[in-house]
Amino acid sequence: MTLAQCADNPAEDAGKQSPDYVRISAAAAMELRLVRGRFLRDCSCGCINLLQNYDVSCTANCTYCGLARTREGESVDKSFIRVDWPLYPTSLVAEKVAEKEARSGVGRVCVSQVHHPRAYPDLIAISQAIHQAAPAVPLSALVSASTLNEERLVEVKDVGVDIIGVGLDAVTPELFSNTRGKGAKGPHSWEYHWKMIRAARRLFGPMKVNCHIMVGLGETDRDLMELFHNLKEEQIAAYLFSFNPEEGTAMEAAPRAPLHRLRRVQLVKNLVEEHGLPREAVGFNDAGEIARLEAPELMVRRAIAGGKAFMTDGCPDRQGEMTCNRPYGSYRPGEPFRDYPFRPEADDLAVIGKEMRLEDIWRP
Amino acid sequence: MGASYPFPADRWYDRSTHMWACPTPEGEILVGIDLLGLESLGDLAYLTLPAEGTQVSRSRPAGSLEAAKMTGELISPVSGVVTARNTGAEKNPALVNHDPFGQGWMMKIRPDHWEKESKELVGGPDLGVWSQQEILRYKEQGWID
Repeated sequence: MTLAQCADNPAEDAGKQSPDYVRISAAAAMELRLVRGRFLRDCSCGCINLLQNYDVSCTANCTYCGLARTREGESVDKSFIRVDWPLYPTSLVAEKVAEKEARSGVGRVCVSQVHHPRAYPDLIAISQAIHQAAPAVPLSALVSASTLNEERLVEVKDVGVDIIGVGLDAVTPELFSNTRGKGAKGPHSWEYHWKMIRAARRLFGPMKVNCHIMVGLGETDRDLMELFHNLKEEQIAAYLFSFNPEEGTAMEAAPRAPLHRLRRVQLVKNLVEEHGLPREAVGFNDAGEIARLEAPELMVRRAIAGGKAFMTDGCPDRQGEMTCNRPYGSYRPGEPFRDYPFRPEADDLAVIGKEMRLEDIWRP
Repeated sequence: MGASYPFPADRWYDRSTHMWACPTPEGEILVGIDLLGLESLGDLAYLTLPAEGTQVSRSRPAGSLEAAKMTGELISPVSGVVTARNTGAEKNPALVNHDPFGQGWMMKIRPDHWEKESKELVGGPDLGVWSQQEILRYKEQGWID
């Protein structure tokens, strides 16, 4: 089956629901050779990302999400983070994961929940199916916090999941409410998300919980920096995503974050997380944008040259190296990179330097 | 996956790009991409074709091909003037994915040097050996099973 065939036959996929069926990211489907294709610049896809599938899609209504309840279209036609997610039997995906693990290794598998009454039991069932087929492959769960409680988190851990991801996405209570909660006629609550994030942090341990954070939903750089510091203090990982509007969603006409802004946010996040940049080293203008960076030249040069700041944030493999690189997941391969699915090379770093326009906010 | 890879014998193929060129009864050349070319990109998601009247040159970019995770240039297999482009495929690249040798044609060219340039393409009695070698090469590269 090809991606196009899958997308062209929604009727054929009606009734094929989780836990017996699961959607798989386009990149992961290519990596498992379920669909044809190669990756630009010969990178690979380290993490097999799976997504629950139901006839009603997701019952939440996040304003930026391709799976939103009020977005028109058949469930199986809906993209998620602008990526096609073809549908396969869970048993076939588990078999392919085991085959790939035996052939060349699989960095990690991540099972993503949607918001649905069956989301929790099916997260357990899908995780068990993968774990039984390939017990050595690390498992993440990207959860919809609203479907969980502390007891359920314990059971998620018991089936072999070692990392929990929480899609916070919006970084302030007001923005969260407007994009995911009551303001968006959605079910999610900022307070309950944080309750589950902290419960997971206690249960799974330091840096075993990550918050997905989206740049471009209407937050300021100041909001982002505040959250980066807070998450670091709580030893919770921050995974950046770049908002990319999806047709048919409430935010379809909203602009993406300018590239120079994203680059600066990526750099300062890295300086905070890995170089101990203090809060007071970043100044903001009246609009909350980064206006001043006071950091030693060596620190900044090292952070840029290392390239990690501009790479995709994602869960690690068994060796602790980032494996969830989601190649070209938040931008088309023909567009400028947003996050690099591999370590940027010298030519890439030259491009990044121009995009970032660092001279406007930092003087060595 | 694991599919067969037909190379219709009524046309010629570019060795490096896997673009095909098929003469029409009117003396024009239909251009498209073969299945191995698609395998090296993945299912096309976006297609940019040259406008009618554009002069294109053999082995030079004439447009762009973009799949879910890969981009590439549409390299013209022949030189000439574009007399038509497949706007249906441009709007719906799935036509190329489903029927690359039929409805998924990309452009029609009035050729400048077909006699000369067709000799640089693979066709006729050479097609069988070359296509088998290419399938083997793609397997060795791990691009197909």
